[in-house]
Amino acid sequence: MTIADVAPRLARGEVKSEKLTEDCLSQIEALNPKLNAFITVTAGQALAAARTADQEIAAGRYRGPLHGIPVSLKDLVDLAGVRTSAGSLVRKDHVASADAVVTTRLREAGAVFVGKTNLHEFAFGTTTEDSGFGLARNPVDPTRSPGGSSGGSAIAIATGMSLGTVGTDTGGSIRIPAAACGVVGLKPGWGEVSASGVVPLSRQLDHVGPLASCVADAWIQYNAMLPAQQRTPQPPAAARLKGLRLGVPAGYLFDRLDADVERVVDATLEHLRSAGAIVTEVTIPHAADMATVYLHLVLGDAAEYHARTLLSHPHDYTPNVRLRLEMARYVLAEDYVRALRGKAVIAHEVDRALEGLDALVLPSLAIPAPPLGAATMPVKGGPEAVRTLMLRCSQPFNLSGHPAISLPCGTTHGGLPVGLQLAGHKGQTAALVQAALAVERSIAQA
Amino acid sequence: MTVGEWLDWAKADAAKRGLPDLIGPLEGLAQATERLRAADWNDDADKDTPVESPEAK
Repeated sequence: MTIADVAPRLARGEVKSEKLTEDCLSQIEALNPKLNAFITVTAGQALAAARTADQEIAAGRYRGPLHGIPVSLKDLVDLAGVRTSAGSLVRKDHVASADAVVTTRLREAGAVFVGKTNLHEFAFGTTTEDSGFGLARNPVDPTRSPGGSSGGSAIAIATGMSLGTVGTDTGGSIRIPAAACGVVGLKPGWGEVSASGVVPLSRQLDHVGPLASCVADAWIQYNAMLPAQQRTPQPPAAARLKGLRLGVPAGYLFDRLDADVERVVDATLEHLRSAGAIVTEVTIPHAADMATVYLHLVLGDAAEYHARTLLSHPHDYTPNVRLRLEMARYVLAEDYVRALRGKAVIAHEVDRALEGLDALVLPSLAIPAPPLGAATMPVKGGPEAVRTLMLRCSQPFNLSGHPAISLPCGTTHGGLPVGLQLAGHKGQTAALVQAALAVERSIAQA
Repeated sequence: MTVGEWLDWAKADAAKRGLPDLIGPLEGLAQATERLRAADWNDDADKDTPVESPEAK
């Protein structure tokens, strides 16, 4: 079920929000003990909000396509009166005194909040294994990670525990779990959606955005997250695939792929070519420096945020996250500044790569969802650390601030989802969504 | 401070703080820092850093 399909039926009174919400809560009750997607379920509040939405719609006060839609929030995002744990026992007693800006906007659009989803502790990881509330499991194969850090949000969408969800993305944390669980994840351009009221990992790399069942649903949520004057009343139409100009950033971003991921992405690119897209190769000269630039920035920023609690509550962190935060405290100022310069260089190079194109196209995730506990995965060129592989294809657009979206494009021989990533021009997220709608439709028809 | 000098100091500090598990991650960070310092944008400190397009802000 998609928001785009059900919203008109809600508006006409053919479907009730209360029923939709009950269905999502039933899914949570049935599946959460196994998948651990939710840290907090707000059933009572959700049902009350759903009944209110039904009354408003019946009275002719329909607010738009999110009115009465069950939505979840990554437990990094404040929901007034409810704990924001950030997936950590460090914050087990922290109750939000107010909504985050993004929560307020979704609430004003009529969203019904069913709960707070599990994540890699403080969003500082890509597998949702290190959570103070227990690891989350991939719904396609529960022996595998759902990706992260917004792992619970991706599970919620994939299993119908909620129809929409809010995630955050510092190095890929919306797009990685979207790819691993077979759903859509949209990272808007940096700063487009307010991060106020969202626990930060790195304020200069953090992005807030939606995960969804389809590109249209991602757009509906993204549009509602924007300031009122930037919203558009009508959803964008799909771009024409024939003549769509797509750039493949060959080299580093394609060098260390799982064989199955490479096969699926190559086949998708060939399909898009045959459908009329103009696919050319482009270069990002400093692509190989992205990982080290990213590392020094995220470590420096995380060290600043966690300095006090690392001293006061060191044993409330999960061991792996605590270790990485302790390491972060050793980054030298001069190296942090070198990384800042590198970030600007890379942002400039992504702008250059996009010249004359509608979007860049590449895998969202170099590997399929990794087995829980895996330290390395086999890829072209030999085994590589899971964390490095998980971030490899997504972190460029956190450094550069360009909008990027992941959408499913096929499965491995073992049935695990593979994600295709499109990255667009700054300030043109709507155009990126139009391109993604065209690609999504074409893949569905393949 | 060279990366080698930094690593010696950091490892000693981690040991003093009772965090021996930090040694391995610090060695990995040292390799990443070597790579960062070798990047060519560090070659000329007088060179302007590219300006990000205003839409990013």
